[in-house]
Amino acid sequence: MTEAGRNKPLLGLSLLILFNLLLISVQVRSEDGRTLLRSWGLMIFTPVSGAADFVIDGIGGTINYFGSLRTFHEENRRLSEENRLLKTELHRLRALDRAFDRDARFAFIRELYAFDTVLAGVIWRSFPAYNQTLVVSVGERHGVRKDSAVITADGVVGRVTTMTPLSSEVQLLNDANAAAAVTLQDSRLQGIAQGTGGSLLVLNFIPNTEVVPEGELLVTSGGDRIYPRGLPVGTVLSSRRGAVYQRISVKPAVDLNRVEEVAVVIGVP
Amino acid sequence: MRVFPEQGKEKKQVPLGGAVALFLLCSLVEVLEGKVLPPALHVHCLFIAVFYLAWYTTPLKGALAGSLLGLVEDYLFGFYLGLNGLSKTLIGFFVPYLSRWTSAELGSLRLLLIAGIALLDRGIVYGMLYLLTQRGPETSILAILSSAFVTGLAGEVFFRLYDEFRFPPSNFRRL
Repeated sequence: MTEAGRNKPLLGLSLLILFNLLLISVQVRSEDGRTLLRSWGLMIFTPVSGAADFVIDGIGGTINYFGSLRTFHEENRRLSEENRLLKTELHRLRALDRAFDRDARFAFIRELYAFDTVLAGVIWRSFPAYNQTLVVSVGERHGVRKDSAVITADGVVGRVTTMTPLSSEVQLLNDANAAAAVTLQDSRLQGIAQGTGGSLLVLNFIPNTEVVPEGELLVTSGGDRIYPRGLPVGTVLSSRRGAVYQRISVKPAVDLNRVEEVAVVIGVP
Repeated sequence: MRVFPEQGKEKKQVPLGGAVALFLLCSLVEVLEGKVLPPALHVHCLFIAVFYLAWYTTPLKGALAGSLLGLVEDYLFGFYLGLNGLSKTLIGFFVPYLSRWTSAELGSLRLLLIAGIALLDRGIVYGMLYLLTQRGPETSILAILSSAFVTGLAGEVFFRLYDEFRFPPSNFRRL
């Protein structure tokens, strides 16, 4: 008898056992309601997937490491320079801070910039053609309230419109119904930055008589009582004359299509 | 596949019509007795059918018959589909080997052999339920032992009768 013929009954038995086990596994459910088949699948494939990720990441990381060695020197030089500038800025701000401490009349300025935040991850994003909203992973239980400002290290992202205990919906600044009171940082002109539904914002209520240079930074003025004062909103892209007010295009400070982590302002004095 | 030599014995194939009749009869009896008899006196007719069919055939065919009849039992008695299928697949696979290994005259010990394997069959079913952390039918161990013995007794009677009418007595007298 050939080897294949000798193994035929064992192969048949294995197939029949497997068939019966599969039948059982699609009916029996674990305590959390998953079928046994799904539990077994997760149990088997999660470590396999983890190991595959580990190997792929390891190989990719090694290749990237050697590939990026060339740029390390340049990056190091740039970071050293940035570090030097930041240290200088830090010393200056500390000196300013001490000056404010000495004079109680400036205490209100410090309070304007003091607020607590809670960090959150973006867990859902709306279809851009419909509206510009995000859902983030903090909610009422974390202290989030309606109209809490949502920011990143780069600037303003939007405001909270609805909350659940553990998540919140955020209206992005570029939503057609969103707006923020802003100040042009250098000229101190005040206006309203409004969303367009696209990737840019529009700055309204700047009279035709004013000169607004391209690249000027817009920061929040705090006048809307939503966004704390002094947060970057965007930079001026272009301006043209209108009937009374200029029509100014603004590029948001935050790349709103790539936001993955945000800070939600939960305590504004 | 012949793991052990046949020792000069000839295998008889169970005719298809006879197998179907046996299956229908066993299913009917098992369903009816489940309604009137207590668990301790429950005769596992489908198990006897698997044992009988497997005894006269090859391991692969025995496993296939066991699987099919086990699934039918699962369906009839509301078990998870595949539970009795699995146990009877294993029984159906190993009983043909058992029929080759046993050549001595066992006489009434055949009763104990059937009862022992019936007990093993229940053990696999309840063991699987335990492994799957599921609750099986609430039956005491005493009832299971008693049911296995009754099944062995019924199997012995069935074998003697069926041998007399369908097969040359020598097929089973070798036990």
